[in-house]
Amino acid sequence: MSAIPIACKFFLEGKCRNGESCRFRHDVSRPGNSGPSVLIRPDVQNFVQRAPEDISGAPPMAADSSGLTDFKALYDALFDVEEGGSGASKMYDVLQSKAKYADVAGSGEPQRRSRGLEQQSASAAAVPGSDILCSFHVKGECRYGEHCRYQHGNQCPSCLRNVLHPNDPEEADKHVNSCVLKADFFSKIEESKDIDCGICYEKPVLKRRKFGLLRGCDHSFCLECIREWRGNQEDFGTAVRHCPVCRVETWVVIPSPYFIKDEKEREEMFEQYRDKLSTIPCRNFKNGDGSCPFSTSCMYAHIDKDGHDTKKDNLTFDASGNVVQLQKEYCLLDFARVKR
Amino acid sequence: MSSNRLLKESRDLRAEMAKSNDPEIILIPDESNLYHWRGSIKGPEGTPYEGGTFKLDLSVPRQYPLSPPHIRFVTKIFHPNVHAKTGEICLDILKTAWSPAWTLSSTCRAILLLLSHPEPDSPLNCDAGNLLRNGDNRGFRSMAKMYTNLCAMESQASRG
Repeated sequence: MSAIPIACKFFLEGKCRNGESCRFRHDVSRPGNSGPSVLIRPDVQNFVQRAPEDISGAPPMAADSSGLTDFKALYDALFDVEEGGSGASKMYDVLQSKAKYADVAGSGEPQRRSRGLEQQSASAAAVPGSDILCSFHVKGECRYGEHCRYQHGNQCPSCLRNVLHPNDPEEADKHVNSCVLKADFFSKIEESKDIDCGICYEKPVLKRRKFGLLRGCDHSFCLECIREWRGNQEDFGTAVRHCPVCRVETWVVIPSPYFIKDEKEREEMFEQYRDKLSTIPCRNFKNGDGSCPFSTSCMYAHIDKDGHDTKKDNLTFDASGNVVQLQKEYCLLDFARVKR
Repeated sequence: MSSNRLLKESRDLRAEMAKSNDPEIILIPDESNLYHWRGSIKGPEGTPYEGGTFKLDLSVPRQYPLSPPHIRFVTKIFHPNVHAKTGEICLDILKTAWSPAWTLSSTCRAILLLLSHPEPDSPLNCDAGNLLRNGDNRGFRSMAKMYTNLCAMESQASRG
């Protein structure tokens, strides 16, 4: 029943979901006149797919060929194009008139979101077309302008795309927030672009490496470099725990995608990092089977098979949550956690 | 990591040396081997080494900058912390106090400082150490000056 003598590109890829009822040709063996490429411009195809809503605005039709007869005019226009000549402008006129018709028909009529829905006529939920953002407007310009049946979103102040849905302020806020965070993140990376690693003397951002920040000072290193240096304990003893530049002793290297000069921000990053590590089971502790040399100061989770956090079990708290007694070992990290 | 960093240091050094007419520190890598450098430092003013030019031999380990370069004096020098025969230097940053933030040029600067401030309590050259430890400054200075005149000046003359 291929009404359009163009091979269905989905069928060629082996995944046309319309099967027998597809309006494009599935019989690839027959030498077809595929026609000039103007025919399968995506916007035309879109129109063909949306056409039933435009014309009828009526209850959706079952998946049969009857819908096709209604679009004889359109197909004629398409064929005109195919046979060359001035078809293109004619087809555009047809498209225009359909669009106007749709406007007149009003948006109150139930309309279908896509062709797939239209075919599962009974069960599909009707979504008013006016709630869907116009994808052309999001990408830049929609040629229907204010006559477009789809919603034209407002511009996001951060990413400058027209993606803010006018009727859904919650979603729009969410988008703006995430956009601002993203922009902030990239601007921080941009600012760290010229910062050198104190060990390899190269720029971590350009090498696509993370920064390894020390808690005690504001010197910058690649995460790899500083970790390698700190793993050098056999040769240099405790000297590796000191900052290579200023020799301040530090116990923790904080991985960060950008450089943080401000001590407070660095501390925030550290807390994030610590929280993340505390969800990962310690591989020395092995859920209680092994023993961890760092005991209560270990940054990883020490949870035994019963689900108890053994690090917490070693501390006794009073009513206000302060530590009153250490049952086993002393751990600075736990103090930090209690304070918070 | 090491070769990139050495190339960068060599570039920086060349730019630095081009800036001044009479640089205190000259460091040049071997043409065929980036891990072997030759250098020379000028004796600091106000010390018995003033006026002398001391040649250095630097061999850089592959793990550089995670381990320190091996530096020794080629020119004979009378100094409590430099071995009289091998030219080995006793300096904490060349051993346990090394930090990867040091560069070859900053290390040489540290050696220059060592020339101005000898550390007689951990001597490699016991004669020089003993002179200083016994308070014979004059004896130490005259010995050091003699060696500078004999070895460091001569090399400069033969070079020129």
